[in-house]
Amino acid sequence: MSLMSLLNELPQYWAEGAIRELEGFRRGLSETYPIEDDPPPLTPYTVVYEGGKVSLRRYQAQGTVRHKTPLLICYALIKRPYVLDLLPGRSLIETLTKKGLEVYLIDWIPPTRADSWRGFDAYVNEDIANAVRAVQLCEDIERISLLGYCFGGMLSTIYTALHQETIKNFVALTLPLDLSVRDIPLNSTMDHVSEETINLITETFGNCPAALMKAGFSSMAPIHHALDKYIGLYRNKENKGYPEMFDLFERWMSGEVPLAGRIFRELILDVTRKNLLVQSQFVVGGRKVELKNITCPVLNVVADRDDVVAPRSSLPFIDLIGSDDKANLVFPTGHVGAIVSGAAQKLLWPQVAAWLADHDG
Amino acid sequence: MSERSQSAKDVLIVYKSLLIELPVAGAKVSLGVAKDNELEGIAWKAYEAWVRLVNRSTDTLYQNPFFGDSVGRGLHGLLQIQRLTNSVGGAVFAALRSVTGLPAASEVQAMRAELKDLRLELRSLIAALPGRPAMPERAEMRRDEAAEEEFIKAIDGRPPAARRGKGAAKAA
Repeated sequence: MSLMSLLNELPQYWAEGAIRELEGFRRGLSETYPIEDDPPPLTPYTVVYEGGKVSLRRYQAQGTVRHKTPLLICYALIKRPYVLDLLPGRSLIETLTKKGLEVYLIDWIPPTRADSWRGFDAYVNEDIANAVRAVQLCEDIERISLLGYCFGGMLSTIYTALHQETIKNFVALTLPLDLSVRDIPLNSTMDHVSEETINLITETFGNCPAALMKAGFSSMAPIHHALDKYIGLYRNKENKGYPEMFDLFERWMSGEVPLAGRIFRELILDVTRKNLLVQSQFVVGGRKVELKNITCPVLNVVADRDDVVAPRSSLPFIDLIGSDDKANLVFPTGHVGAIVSGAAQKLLWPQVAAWLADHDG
Repeated sequence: MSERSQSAKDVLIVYKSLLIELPVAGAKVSLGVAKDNELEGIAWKAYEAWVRLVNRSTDTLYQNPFFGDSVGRGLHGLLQIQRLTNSVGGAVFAALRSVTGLPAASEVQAMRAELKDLRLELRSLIAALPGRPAMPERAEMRRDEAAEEEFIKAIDGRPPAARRGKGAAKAA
């Protein structure tokens, strides 16, 4: 490796990066987000229900041991979910199904401009409720296990608080709960964006555009996205596996999905600025979301090195709920590593599966 | 270690590497007495220290209220321009559309919705068929899991501000 070689290759990496960003921009601006651009799935599934903004996937349990209680995974609204099923040995879906779990995944259908009216009420009390009902019917069971990741964790928390009777066990993964925590420096900048500007975003675009969310995520680590990741690629280009992983990840990282206008406004103005959820003052569909109404067993998985959702934002969750059987599981990983790292697949998710097995009866 | 002392340490690394170690290593290379990759190792050490410094500076900038106000005002201005552009463009092209015969966005959207319904119907018919085709397979690729782990550590590794000098998050 030499400086000249680096200076020769860096412009090529930047050009490829720019093309990826423009393709992500095109996808985000499309009136109907092209989900057919997703890479082919690793683990086979069938779509068992479609309605509202939900396409419900079913992944069959593998092996001889089979849990009685199915697991429904609620992913975030703002990214495509194929990161959960990325590569052999790095697939959360594969790991959980091999542990004998029948796994269902809410594949959120990206919103169009016509969906800008959708808020937390529509996503929680209609979409998630319908998905849970579909799982109940498929499995002939009254209560299911629910796992929510990041923003999906927030939606799942609200759902469980409002519909506790349908949930047997709840696993929260990197849950952004206490949003008064300002450990992520960019949050301080966003505090200065006025309520008028937030409303102007949805007045202009209907929904929150994918490009705006992409700008937000990139701004969290600008030097990494502008330069350091390409330097890392250059330094590891001889390591088989690194460039392939880089390409897959970059594809996912440039795959932001628009966020429906109303839920965007509610998220920023009510949940983030006023921090209503952690105070049990957030109203969804005319009902107050009281965290103490969550009484089922809860496992709160926190990534110790998370630089997207500060760990201090997630940890208070178990102190606010009404469950007797609850625990924090803090794992030394980052926000994405919790899903795809080898350590997570070998150590974290078997622990989660064992916890679910213990609470299966 | 506090952020300020870590920054001071990184500044020292950068200056020491650029002003002392790199020239010395360069001289050793020209004399043929340098160790393998010595020059490269020093350069990467300086680069990594520089990246840490820039990251910390960026975090400090984000916490500056003046910067936050500027971002807020700038975003508001851009959105107002975009809104005006949308309105003017919509009005101009609405007139042109009737001349050129191009469909409106709403007509295209309605067509897409119809196509989606047809796709759902086709999918349910295919699901009912015996011996339906398997899911598309990914191309096999030879993998190096250690290299993949290196990549994940690189993108996951930056700790949040609270951890730097304030103690790690603890399990309850």
